[in-house]
Amino acid sequence: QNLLLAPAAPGPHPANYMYQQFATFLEEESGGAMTGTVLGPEVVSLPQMKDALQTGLANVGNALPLYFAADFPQTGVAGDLALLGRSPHAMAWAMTEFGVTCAPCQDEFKEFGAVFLGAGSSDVYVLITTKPVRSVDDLQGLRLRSGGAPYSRWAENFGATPVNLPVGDTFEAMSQGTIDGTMASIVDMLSYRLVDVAKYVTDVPLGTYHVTSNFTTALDTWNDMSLEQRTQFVKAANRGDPQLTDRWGFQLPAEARAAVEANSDIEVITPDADFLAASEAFAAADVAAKAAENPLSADFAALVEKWEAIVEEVGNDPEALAARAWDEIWAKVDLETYGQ
Amino acid sequence: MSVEIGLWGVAALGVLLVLRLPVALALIIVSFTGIWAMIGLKPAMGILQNTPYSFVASWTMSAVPMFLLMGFVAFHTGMTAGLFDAAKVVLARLPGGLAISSIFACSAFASVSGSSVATAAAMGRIAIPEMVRAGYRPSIAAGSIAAGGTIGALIPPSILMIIYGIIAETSVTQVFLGGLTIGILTAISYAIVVVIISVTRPDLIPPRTEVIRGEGARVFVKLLPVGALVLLVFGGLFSGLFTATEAGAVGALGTVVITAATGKLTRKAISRSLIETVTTTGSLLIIGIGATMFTRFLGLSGLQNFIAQAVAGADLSYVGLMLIIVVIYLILGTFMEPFGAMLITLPVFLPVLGAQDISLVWFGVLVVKLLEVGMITPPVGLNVFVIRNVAAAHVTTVQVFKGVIPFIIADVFVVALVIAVPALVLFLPGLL
Amino acid sequence: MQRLVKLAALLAKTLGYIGALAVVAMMLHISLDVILRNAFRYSMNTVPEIVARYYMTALAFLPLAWLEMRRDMISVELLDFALSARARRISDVSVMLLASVVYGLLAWTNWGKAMRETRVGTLVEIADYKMAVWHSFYFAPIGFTLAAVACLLLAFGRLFPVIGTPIEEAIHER
Ligand code: NA
Ligand code: NA
Repeated sequence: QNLLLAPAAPGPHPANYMYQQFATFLEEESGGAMTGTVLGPEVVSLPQMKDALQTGLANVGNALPLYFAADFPQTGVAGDLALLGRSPHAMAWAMTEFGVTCAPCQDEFKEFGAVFLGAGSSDVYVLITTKPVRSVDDLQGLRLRSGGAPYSRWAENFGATPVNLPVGDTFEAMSQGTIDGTMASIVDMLSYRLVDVAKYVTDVPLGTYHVTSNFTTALDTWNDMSLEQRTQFVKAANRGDPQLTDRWGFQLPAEARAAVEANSDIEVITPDADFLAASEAFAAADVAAKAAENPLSADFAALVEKWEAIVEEVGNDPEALAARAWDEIWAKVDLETYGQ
Repeated sequence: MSVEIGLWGVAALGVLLVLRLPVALALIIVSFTGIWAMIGLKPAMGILQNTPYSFVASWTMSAVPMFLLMGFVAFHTGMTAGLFDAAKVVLARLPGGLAISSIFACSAFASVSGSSVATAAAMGRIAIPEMVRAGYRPSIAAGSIAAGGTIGALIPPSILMIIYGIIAETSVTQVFLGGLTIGILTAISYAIVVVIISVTRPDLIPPRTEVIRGEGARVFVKLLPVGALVLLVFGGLFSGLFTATEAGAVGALGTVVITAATGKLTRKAISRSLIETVTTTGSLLIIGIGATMFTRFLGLSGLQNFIAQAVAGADLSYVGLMLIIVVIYLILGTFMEPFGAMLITLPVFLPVLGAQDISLVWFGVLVVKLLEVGMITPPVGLNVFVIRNVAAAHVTTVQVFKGVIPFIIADVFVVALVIAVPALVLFLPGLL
Repeated sequence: MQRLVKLAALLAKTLGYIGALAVVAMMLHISLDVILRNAFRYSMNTVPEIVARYYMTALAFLPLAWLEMRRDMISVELLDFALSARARRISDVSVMLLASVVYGLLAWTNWGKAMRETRVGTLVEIADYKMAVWHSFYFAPIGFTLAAVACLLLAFGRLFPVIGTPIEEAIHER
C-alpha cells in the first residue's frame, strides 16, 4: 500500500525532513508493506490541507491546528500557553499527549475528518531586530512581527507594537524598516533569510510553536487499516514525531547560530538580568491567567511539567524519547477504537 | 507516480489550445481529468474545490491589480504620454528609438514593480499604440513590450527572487544584485535586437521616427507628473514607508491624486481604467488558477523524479548539466507558471549544484531569467496574454507570440553568456 | 425570454462593477494603512487578510460572467484565421458548452466548500483578535454559477439571435 504524504513544505523545511524520515520508518515498521510518496507543497499547501485530507488528495498531512483555528478551538488552547515553552522536546511530547488524551480535541480531529498522531515543536523563540534591545526600555515603541496572541501580549506588555504580517513578508518588511524585528525562531535567520537584514539577536527566551499535528491521517485511510497496520503505522509516526523537534528545535538552530556568529553585522545580545526577570515574570503571569481561564489549559500546563522531567531524564535523543513516549502515551491507547 | 499521464497531459493541453479552448479552461480540464485518471474522482473534485480560493486569496497577488490600475490611470490621463515625448527627444535619433526607449522605460518601471506581468501591462498600454502610430509593425511593437516586461522580475525588487532565496536558503540581497546585472544585460540585448531589425527590416520597425524639434524644455515640463510619481513610489519603497506589495496601491492612489491636481482626471478616465483593471486582472487570475491546478497535477504525476533521473544520468560536465537545466526550464516554462516550476525543480537541482560547486546566487539569477523567458513562450505565456489584453485593438495573441521571437533569441544569447562567464553576474554580489 | 436574458446580462455587468468597487476599496484601504502607519504609527493589522480574502476574491470571481460575455477570456487563436464562418460557429458553441460544464463543476464544488466553511465558522487569528472570514468563500461559487449560466446563454446565443442580441445590447449599452 502506497500512501500520499503531504508535509506542505519544501525540501529544506523541518516538516519535509520529518516526512522523509517517516517514509523510511513506515517501510521499516511494516516490513515494506506500507510505503509513502512525499508530495511537494506545489501539490498540497498548508491552507489546502483540510480539503486534501477530506478528498483523498493526501492520506497523511501536516495540518497546523492554529491555521484552522475555527476547526480546533479546544486543541488550540495549548497555543495560548506558548510562553511556557523552554524545552522543545517537552513541549512536543506534552502536545502529543494532550492531543491524544483530551476528549474535545479528539472530537475536533474527527470532525476535521482526520486522526491525530502526535506533534513536534520549534526551538525557543527569541528577538531578531534591526535595533539593539538590551533592556526593557529598548522595547518601547518597537514594531515587532508576532506569530500569535501570546507573543502579541508579551510585546504589548513591554510597550512594543505587535504587527500581523505573513511570515514570508518578514524579510522585506525588516529590510525596508516597516517593522523593527520579529519574535521568532532563530531558524528564520536562514529559512526566511533574515540573516541578510537583521542586526541584533536578543536571547530573551519567549516561547515555542508546538500546536502541530504532524501525521494527520485521513479518517478514510485510518478506517481502511487493520489493527496490525495501525500499530505499525503509529509506531512509525511516533518515531517520526520527534524528528520535527530534533530538526526545528536543535539541528537547524545550531546551523543558524553558526551563521549568525560568522556574520560580523549581527550582534548577539544577552539581555540584562532585570530584563530577563521581567520577561519571565510576565510569562509566568500570562500562563497562570490562561490556565485559570480553561481547565484544558491547566491540563496542558501539567503535561508540560511532566515531560520536562522526562526529557531531563532521557535527554534529547529522538529515538530514545520515542521509545519512552510509546510507553507513556501510545501503549495506553486502544488503536482498535482510536479516532473513531 | 505516473509520469506518462503527466506527459499525456502536456500533449492534451497543446491539442485543446489549438482547438480554441480558452487557456484557463484547457488547463483546468486537463488537470481535472489527469488527477481523476491517476488517483480518482474525489481528489480531482477536491482540486476544483480548493485551488480557486487558495490561489486568489493572496496578499502578495494583490500587487498585480494595483500596479495594473496605476498603469491604466497613468495612460488614460495622458500622464505617461509626456514620458514618450521626452524619450523621443533623447532617443529618436537611434534606429528604432521608440522601442528602445520603451524597453528602457520598462527597466525603470522594473525598479518599482516586483512582477513582470504588471510591468508589461503598465508599459504596454502606454507604448504600443504610440509605436503603432509611428509605423511599427504591431506584432513587433507588442513583442518588445511583452519581452521588456520580463525585466520587471529581473531588476529588483523581484517577487520571484525573494521566493528563490527562501527555497534555496541563499542571500536575497545578493540574488537581487545579480538580477540587476542580468536585467541591464537583457535590456541592452533587446535594444540591440531592435537596432538590428530596424536596419535590416525597415518594414517592421521604421528606421527613424520623426524627431520633435524645438520643444526641448517644454517636453521636460510634461515629465513632472511622472517624475513626481516615480519619486513617490521609488522613494517610499526605498525609505521604508511601504513594501513592494503595498507600492502598487500607493502608486495608484498617487497617480489619481497627481492627475486630479493637474486637472487631467476625467470621469471617463476613471471608469475606463477601472474596467480595464477588472477585465485584465480577472482574465489573468483565472489562468493563474488553471496553471496552479496544472502544477498540482504535474507534481502528483511525479515529474520531479523524472527530472531527477534526467539530471542524475551519468556524471555530467558543467556544460552538459547546464544544457539539461536550460532545456528543462525552457520546456517547463512553455506551460507552467514560474512559482510552481520553481517548487518542482529546485529540490531536484539544488543538491546537484552543491556537488558541482556552483554558486546558488548565480543559479538563482539564471533560474529567474529562464522562468521569465517562459513568460513569453507559447502556448502559455502570461506576459503575452496581458499584452494581448491591453493592446487588443492592435494585435492577436499569435501575433504577439510572433513578435517576441527575436527577443527570445536575444534571451538565449544572454543565458549562454551568463553560463559561459558566471563572473558577469557574480561581480556585483561579490562587492558586497 | 428576451427580458430574462437581458436581466441575466445586466446582473453579470453589475457583478463586474462590484469587482471594480473591490479594486477601489483595495487601493484606499492599503493606502490608508500605509498613511496611518507612517503618520501616526498605528497599524490596522487586519489589512492583509481583508485584502486577500475579500477584495481579491470579489475581484477575481464576481466579474467572471461579465468577462465571458465581453469575450475577454484569453485563448491562443492559432486556428482562427483558417476557420469558415460555419466552422467557427460550431467551434464557438462547443467551447461555450464545455466552459459551461466546467464552470458548473467549479460552482458545485465551491458551493459545497462555502457551506462547510460556514458551518465551521472559519476565522483567522490576528494578534489577539479573531476575524471571521467564512463569508468570503461565497464569492467563488456565486461567480462560477453565473459564469456557467452566461456560457450556456452565449452558446445558445450563437445559434439563436433571440438570445444573442439582448446579451450584446445589455453588455455594450452605457
Ligand atoms: Na522589479
Ligand atoms: Na510560456
